[in-house]
Amino acid sequence: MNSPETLTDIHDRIVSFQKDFVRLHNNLARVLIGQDEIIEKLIIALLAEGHTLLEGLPGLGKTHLVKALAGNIGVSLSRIQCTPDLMPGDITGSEILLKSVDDEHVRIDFRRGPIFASMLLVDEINRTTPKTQSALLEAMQEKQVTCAGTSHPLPQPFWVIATQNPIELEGTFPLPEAQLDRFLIKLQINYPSADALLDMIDCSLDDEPANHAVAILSGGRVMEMIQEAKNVVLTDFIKNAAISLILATHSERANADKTAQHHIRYGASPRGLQALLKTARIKALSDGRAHVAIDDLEAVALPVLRHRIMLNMESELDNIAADDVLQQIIQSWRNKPNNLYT
Amino acid sequence: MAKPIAPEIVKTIDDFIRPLRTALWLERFRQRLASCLPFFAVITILIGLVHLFLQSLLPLPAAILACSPVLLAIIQAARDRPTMLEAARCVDARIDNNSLLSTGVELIHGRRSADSPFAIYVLRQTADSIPYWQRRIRRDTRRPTTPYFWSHMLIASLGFFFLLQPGAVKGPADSAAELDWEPVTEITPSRHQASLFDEIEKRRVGRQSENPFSSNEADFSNKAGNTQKAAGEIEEKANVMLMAETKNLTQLTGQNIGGQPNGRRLEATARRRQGDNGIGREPDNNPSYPGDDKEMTAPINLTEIPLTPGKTTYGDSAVDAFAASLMTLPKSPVDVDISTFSSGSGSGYANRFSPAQQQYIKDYMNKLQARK
Repeated sequence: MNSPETLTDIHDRIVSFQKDFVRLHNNLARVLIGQDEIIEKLIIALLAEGHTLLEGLPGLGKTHLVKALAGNIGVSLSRIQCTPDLMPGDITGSEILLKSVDDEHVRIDFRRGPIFASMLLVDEINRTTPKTQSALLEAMQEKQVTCAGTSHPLPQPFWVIATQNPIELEGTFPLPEAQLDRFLIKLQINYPSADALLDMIDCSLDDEPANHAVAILSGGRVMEMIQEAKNVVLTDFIKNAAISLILATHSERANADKTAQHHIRYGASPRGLQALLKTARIKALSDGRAHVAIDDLEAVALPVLRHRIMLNMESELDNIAADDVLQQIIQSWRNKPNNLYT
Repeated sequence: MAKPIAPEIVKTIDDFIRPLRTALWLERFRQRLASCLPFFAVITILIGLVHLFLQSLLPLPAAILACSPVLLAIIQAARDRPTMLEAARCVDARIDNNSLLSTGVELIHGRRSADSPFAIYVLRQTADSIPYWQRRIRRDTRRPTTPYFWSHMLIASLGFFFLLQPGAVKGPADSAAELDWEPVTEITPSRHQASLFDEIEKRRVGRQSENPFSSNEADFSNKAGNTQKAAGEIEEKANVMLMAETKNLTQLTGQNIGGQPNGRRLEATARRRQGDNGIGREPDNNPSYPGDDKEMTAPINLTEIPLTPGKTTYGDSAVDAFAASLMTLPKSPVDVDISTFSSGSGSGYANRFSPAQQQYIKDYMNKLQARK
């Protein structure tokens, strides 16, 4: 039967996961002060093997955070600063002709681009052209790069963390929907509080904490944590509730939320549903639970869905934010019996 | 590695959730009843007021109509039995449990078997937490109160009180209903009055046998002079009989006899009837009456009390008609309060008889008055 060792072992694994999660969180919180929720969601996306889009004004520490994260988990980090003249080959790599010293042997070799790293920081992704942006599509979804008919697998795990500036729109290329949908979550970094700013000055005025980040988790341990999260119990009730929430964003459906019918042109995709459940599993495990609860879904719903819905023209002109619309939908969803739209 | 769920875990969780499921069902029952209470109160008070001021309503259908929201709520609640999973979700929500119990219940009763190590861990965690939850639930004995419960019940009670009052206006249907119900206890002891009619009949039969060739119309003028005297004699005789039997009954029992009022009351009733006419019928004996009176439409019953035939008298046709009208009353034993007939105004009996019967009574009373 259920031997005590086995159950104790599972318990220990869950506790260990929780401890590592908290440890990583605390370490990052010392680098990016006053952004605890952003850090938590970033780690959730990391352990769900998802890509993250960080949006925030310049100087809020986005790049800093990603560098600290890579340093703390001991994985390789590549950084691409996007510009309008950046070409896809600059990211993925390209084939070059190689000659031997005696010029007798000539061969074409694939020179790997910066994308071949476990963590890729794509800074100001909306400054590059759609052509270059699209070069990331295959890498993000298939975790491989195809060049001249040859596919080159990317290292495992592979994360893309992109940043973008929401206010400087001139000379930028907003990400297409297909590109946006490939990001597991989108985090919006806001200004920290006065207390947080004071703490930040104390610890980072003359120094860069991210430069001193030491690996507290190995890459192998991170992979174990990723695998552990896949064991978390997802009941049919939770799955149905998640489906209900996703469908509530579809304005064309009869059982869509009233807010969605008024403001949303396109709702969240099935990939959004997968993202919702994946991140909810990590959230549950980080709270020391082996099962997902409705609260987990609610906690991750906003960062998972905010970039997957498209507002209609009237709402865009009225400057209605997608977050406000989603928050109303989530609130309505929580108030429904059994969290189901019928 | 697939492992079956331990039966003791399943039993522990099921044993915990079953009474909670019943409690949830009862709670839903209560909620539905509470939600229908305002409708119940409003409908009841409206029906009561309609009955009281506008139109008389039949109590039973009106009561059923008033209770219809409650009945609907009961039916709906009976059909809406919560599942184990619903009960588990309610418990989770109540004790802020992060869906642990509902997850455990779904792992047991769900469509997919719980064979992963994490699922078994969740089940074990659920079973281990049950004693703690039981304490929490026991401690948390908050009972949601039904707002305005007593005011609604008060209004509904008032409505029922109005419904039980006699209505302001009575329609024919209501009169018929009252004939079925109320007078049943009032018309019985007319056995003696029936015997009076029997006496009249016997004497009339005797008269007819004496003078078989005379017609009613021809005889009427001759008989008219004797009618008043004969009627007076018959009344006196009937009253004497009533008094005698009443005394006997009082001596015998002093209590109710066969559902009749007790002897003392019978005696009082008989005394009250001293000056009244004896009317009534015997319910079970109804041989056809071969009378010559055209107004006689129903047979007059014979009684078992033997009366010595006195001198021949000529029954008034109005008396016969009235007796005939009484024959159409229900067969149940009845007791007529004669005092209501003697009032002459008709208010007492107007509501208890059909218009045809009322007309007969009026005619009879008028003729008696004329004779006096």
